Amino acid sequence: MAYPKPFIIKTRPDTPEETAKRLGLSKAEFHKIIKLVDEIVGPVSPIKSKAVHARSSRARVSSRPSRLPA
Amino acid sequence: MAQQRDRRVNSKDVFLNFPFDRWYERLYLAFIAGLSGMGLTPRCVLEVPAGAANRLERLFTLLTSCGSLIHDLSRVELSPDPPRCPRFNMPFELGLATALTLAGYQHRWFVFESQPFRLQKSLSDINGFDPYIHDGTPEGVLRELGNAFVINRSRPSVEELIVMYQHLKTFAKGFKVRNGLSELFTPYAFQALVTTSQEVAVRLGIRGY
Repeated sequence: MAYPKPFIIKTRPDTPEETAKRLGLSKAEFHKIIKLVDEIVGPVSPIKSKAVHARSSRARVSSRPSRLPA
Repeated sequence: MAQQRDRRVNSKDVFLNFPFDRWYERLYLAFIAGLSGMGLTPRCVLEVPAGAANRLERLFTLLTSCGSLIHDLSRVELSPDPPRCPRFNMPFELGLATALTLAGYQHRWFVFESQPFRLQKSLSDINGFDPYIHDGTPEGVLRELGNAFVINRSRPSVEELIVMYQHLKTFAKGFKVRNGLSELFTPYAFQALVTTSQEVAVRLGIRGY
């Protein structure tokens, strides 16, 4: 027996606001929940930002023409 | 026209078929966190009002609108509260899902279980489909979701999804207290949890837009 083939998702994810709307929440209810997230969960540190910055800065460095010190 | 609109399939929507009991709450949160972290949108029968006369029809419409269906049969057993009886809802909804596939609907369904080889005994009609075994743990759920879905964006690791799950668990605890809830299996709690997990995924930078 085998697992079914993994299902490949190709579309852009919905934003939290789009999701809330599709689930039937009003704009006011959405903002109320976001306020609750701020109060209960508090500040959240991005866990992917460092890797993204490192990648983009490497890309910038590699594409820049090399310059010798004067 | 309305019927045609209802039948439109959203590939990002994932229907969750699971038991509503407090022992399952951790896995419920793990499914919501994991799917949201992967850029998908959890949907559930909780969105269908319990007292609606056309509940079955609305459930069917919701099922047909989702690109994927997840059926967790890990707790198909006697209910803890009297009168004790087997839980037929989850196998029933799996039956609807398989019927949809046989009728040519374009969606995928997945079966999750906590124990290997149990499903072959409890539901031999679907022998040939291996269930995803989550061991009854949130980590297991997040791991197996990664096996079921492949995303063509940067794929979150299980560790990242665990961070998401922990944030959602913190929110759920506070949400229960503030709303005087004893459980999270209510329509508003489901809406709030899904919205929160999507927001946390954005804040953690787990999925890009």
